[in-house]
Amino acid sequence: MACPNRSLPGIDPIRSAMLTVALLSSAISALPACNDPDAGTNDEDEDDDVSEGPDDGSTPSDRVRCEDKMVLDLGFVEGDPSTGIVTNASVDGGFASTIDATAGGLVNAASNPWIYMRFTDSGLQTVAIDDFEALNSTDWHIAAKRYEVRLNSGTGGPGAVTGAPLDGFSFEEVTEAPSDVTLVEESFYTDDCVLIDDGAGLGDPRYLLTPWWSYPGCVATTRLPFLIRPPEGDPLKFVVESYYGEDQTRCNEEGVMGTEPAQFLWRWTFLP
Amino acid sequence: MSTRVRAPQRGLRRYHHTRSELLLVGMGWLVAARSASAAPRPTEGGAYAFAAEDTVANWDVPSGAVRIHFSTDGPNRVRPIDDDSDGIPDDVIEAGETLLAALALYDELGFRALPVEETETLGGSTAVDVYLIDFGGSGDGHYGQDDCARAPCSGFLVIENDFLEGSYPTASEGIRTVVSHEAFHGVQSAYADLPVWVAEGTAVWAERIFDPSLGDFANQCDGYLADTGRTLYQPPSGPVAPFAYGTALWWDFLATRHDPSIIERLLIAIEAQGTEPRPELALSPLLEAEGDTLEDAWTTFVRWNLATGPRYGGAETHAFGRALMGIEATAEGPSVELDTRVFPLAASYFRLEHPGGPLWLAANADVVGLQFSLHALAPGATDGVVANPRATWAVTGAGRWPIVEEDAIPAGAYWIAATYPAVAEVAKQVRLCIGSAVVAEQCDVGDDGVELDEGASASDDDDGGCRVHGRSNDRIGLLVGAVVVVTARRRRRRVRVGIPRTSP
Repeated sequence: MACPNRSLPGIDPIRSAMLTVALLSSAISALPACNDPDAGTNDEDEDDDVSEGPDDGSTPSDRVRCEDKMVLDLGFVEGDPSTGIVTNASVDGGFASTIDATAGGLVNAASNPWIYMRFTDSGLQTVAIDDFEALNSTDWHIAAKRYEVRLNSGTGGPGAVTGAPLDGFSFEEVTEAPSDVTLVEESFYTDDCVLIDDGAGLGDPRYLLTPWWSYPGCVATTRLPFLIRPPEGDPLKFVVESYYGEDQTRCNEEGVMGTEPAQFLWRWTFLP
Repeated sequence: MSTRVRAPQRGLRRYHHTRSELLLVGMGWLVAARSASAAPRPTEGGAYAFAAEDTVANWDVPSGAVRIHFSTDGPNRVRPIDDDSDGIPDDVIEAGETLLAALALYDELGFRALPVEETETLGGSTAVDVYLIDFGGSGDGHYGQDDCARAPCSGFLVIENDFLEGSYPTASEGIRTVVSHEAFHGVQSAYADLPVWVAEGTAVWAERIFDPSLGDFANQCDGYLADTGRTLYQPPSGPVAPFAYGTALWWDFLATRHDPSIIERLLIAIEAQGTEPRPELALSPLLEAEGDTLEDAWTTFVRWNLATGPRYGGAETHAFGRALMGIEATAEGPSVELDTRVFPLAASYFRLEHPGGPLWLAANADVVGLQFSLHALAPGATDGVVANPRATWAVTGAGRWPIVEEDAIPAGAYWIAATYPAVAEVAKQVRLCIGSAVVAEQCDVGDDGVELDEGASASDDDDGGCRVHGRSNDRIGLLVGAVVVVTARRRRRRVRVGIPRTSP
C-alpha cells in the first residue's frame, strides 16, 4: 500500500525488540498509519509505508558523478528493492524509526541492496527502488546498508538533500535549525573520482553521516546529532540512537558487541 | 598489517558460521584495521593478546630464526598434544617448521626475505616472532608490523592457537594454511603497502604454492567466482571481502600461464609505483614483458572460469577447476535484453536456451573492446560440462548483427562468456539484446541501429559490428554462430525471456 505524504503523523507499532531501548520505551505512542483500518495492528503492516515517490516537482540533477565507481564501491545490486522493514513511532513531536538495514546479514550484504527512505510528515517511509534506480531518483532522502548511511545528494545520489553534524549539541538540545550551520551535499569522491574513505581502514566512503558511529570494539553510537534538509520541506534534526537491536548501551559503555546488528533506531524531528 | 579472515568452506569441510561468529569475523577485521598504527604484540595487549591467566612460554626452531610464543595454560593455551614427548606441544613445532619451510620456498622462488628486526627488543630475540592466540572465531591469522626503525618495517605473525573451530579438516592443515599465508604478507611488506585485493589474493595464492593440497585456496577462490561481474581491482568496501581473497584465482592463473616468478615481478612493479600504487596499471607491462597481453590473458581466464565446478571436464581450465564452486549465470533464457553497465576486468556469463535458428545481437552503444565466447553443452543438457569455445567475438560498434552468418545454431543450451579485458576508469553503459532476429529488431538501439538485414554478414563488416571467429561444425555441416552479450554489475538481473522465433 502506498502511503504518500500526509499532514497527520502516522505511526506503525514499534516492534517488541525495539522496546528494549529503555530510553524510548515509555515515550512511544502508537497510532494507525495511513488511514488504513488494518494498519498498525500487526507486523505485516510494518512496511506498508512504501512511497511511490513524491509529487514535489523535484527532478534529478545531472548524472551522479562517479557512478561507475559508486556501483562497485558501494556494492550496488540491481533487482528487487530491499525488503527491509521500517517502522515509526511518535516521540516528543518527532519520530523514532526502526530500520532493518541488515541486507541479508554480513556475509550476504554484497548481494542485497541498500534500503531507500524518505522523511515525511507521517514518518520515515521506504522507497521501493533498487540501487540502480536510486541513481536516477529524487524520491529518496536517505539510504542505509549495514552501518553505512548516505544522503541523496552530491556523490551520493541525484537529489539535493543536504546535511551537517551539529557538533556541541545533544539531540534534545536542538529545538530549531541553527542559523550558523553550513549544510553540504555528500562528497565522498574527489573530482577525479578517487574514493575519500572514512579512515577506519575498511575502505568505506566518508559519508556525511559517518560520524554517527565509533568503534571501541563494537559499533558504538556517538549520538552526534545532524541537521538534514530535504529539498522540498523543513529541515530536521537526526540522530542514530542504536545500531544493534539489543545491547547498544552495553556496547557504548563497555565496548561489548551487541546483537541484531544493522537494526537501526533513528530519532528525528522536523524543525521549525 | 593484515588480518586473515576465514572463508566459509564447502562440502564436508564447510565451516558452520553462526551469526555471532560472522559478526566477529567482520568486526574483528575492523579492530585490526583500526589498530594498524599501534600494532601491539599479543604480549602487550590489543585485539589479539594473551590473557593475564595465560602461562606463556616460547620455543625457538633449532636455527633460531623463528620463535613461537604460546600458552600452556589459560584461555590461549595450545593443544597439549606431544606425540614425540619432547616437551614441546606438536602444534608449536609444526608452526615453527611450517614458517621456516614457507620462507625457504618463497626465497627459492626469488622473493625478498621477510624483514626481521635487528635488535632483541621485540619478542626477546631477532627471530621472526609467531604468537599463538585464540581468535575466538573472528579470524585465524594476522601479520602486524611494529619495528620501522629501518625500512622495510619488520613485524610478527599471530596464528590461531588450536584451530578447534572446525574451519579446517585438521589443526595441521590450519597451521600450514595460515602460517604460509601470513608469512607471505611478511614477504609482501618487503616491497610495498599493497591494496587489499593484491595483498590477500597473492597471500592465498602463496598457500597453494606452499602446499597444493591445502583446501583453503579453492574455498577462497570461490569468493571471486561469486562476483565475477565486479572489476578485479575494485573489491567492495567493508569488513568482509571474500572477493579480495578470491583474486588468488587470477594470480594463480598468471603463475600457471607463465611462471610463479611473475608474482615477484608484479611486486617489484608495484613497489616502483610509489606510495599510492595502482597494481592494475602494472598488469599490461608485466604481461607484455612475457610476450603476452592483458587482453589475451584475461579473456582466457574468463573462459577458464566458466569451465569450473559443475561445468568442469570438457574445456581447458584450472587444474583444480573441479574443486571450485563455479560461476553463476548473470542471465539465462531463450533471449536476453539488458540495460547494462560493462565493467573493466570483469566478466558475465549467460546461459542461453536456444530454440534453434539464427541468433542476433543488438547494442545501442559503442561497445568496442568487449570479447565474447560461445560454449556448447552436451546435447540435450540444460547445464553442465562446457566445451572449449566454439566461436569467439569482438564487438566494434553499435547496431544489429546476425551473429550466425549462414545456418543456424542448433537448438540446445549454450553458455556465453562476456568480458571487457582492459583496465579502464569507467564502465560502458549499453542496451544489449541477444536472441532471434525479432528480438534484435525490437531492441531499441537508437539512431546507431542499422536496418535489420538477415543477409548481412557480421564478419563482412570490418568497420563496425562484430568480428566473428567461428568454426565450422563438420559433423552437422552447420556454421556455429554465437550470441553477444555484455557483462554487468548486477546480481539479480531483470531478464526478459523472449518468445523464440526464427524470423522477423
